[in-house]
Amino acid sequence: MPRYELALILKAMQRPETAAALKRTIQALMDRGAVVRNLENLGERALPYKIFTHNQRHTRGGYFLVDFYAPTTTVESIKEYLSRDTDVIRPNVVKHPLTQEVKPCEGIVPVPLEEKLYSTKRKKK
Amino acid sequence: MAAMVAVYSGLVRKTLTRVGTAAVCLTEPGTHAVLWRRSCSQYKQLTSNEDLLLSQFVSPFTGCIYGRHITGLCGKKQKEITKAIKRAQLMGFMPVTYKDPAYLKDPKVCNIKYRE
Repeated sequence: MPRYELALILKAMQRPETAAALKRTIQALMDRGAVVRNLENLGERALPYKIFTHNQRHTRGGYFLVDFYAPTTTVESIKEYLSRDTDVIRPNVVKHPLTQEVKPCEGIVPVPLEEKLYSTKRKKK
Repeated sequence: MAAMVAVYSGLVRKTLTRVGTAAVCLTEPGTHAVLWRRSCSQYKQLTSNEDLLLSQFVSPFTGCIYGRHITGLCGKKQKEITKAIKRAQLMGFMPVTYKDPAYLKDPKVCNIKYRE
């Protein structure tokens, strides 16, 4: 089952450089003992707000989604490595959403208000 | 007794009961999000990638998240949606101060009326 998901935002670069950055990232993941399962490209689009990282101002970025299995101890080292990489604008490692349980929700349960009209505490006379 | 109950319920904030109120539920091709029906029992797993779904609960002018009295969701779902919106904003998927202009023409899920 997929354990973690990396929402990676890379700098807007030419295709060979993006490929090299992705290769570097996944190599780093695999070096730390992660098993990469899938890599999705959500396209290059304008960022929702200007992001300042590594002394640079970014307006556009390429969005990528990597889901991988990883041991729990290496997640911190992955995060630290990604924060040091200059091509990466914003890395985020999250627990994979498909692993979360789906619980049915009953909605707002109507509470009988008549019982709450008067306090049930015994008053001292 | 009935009159007393009516007066009391008028004083207390109205609790919206979710009994079969369903708005139109559309799926756009290419997205894996389903627009909410106006009932909590329509459950959908919340990921922070789904801008389409989460932008419906955000004001188009200020970008602030609508409260429980406007969305009409139950406690758990409201909390989950708030968490997902904050996460999406932090991760760089959703804008903070405004609503994404591509989603301005969505069907209304929330109970809010703006002056024309």
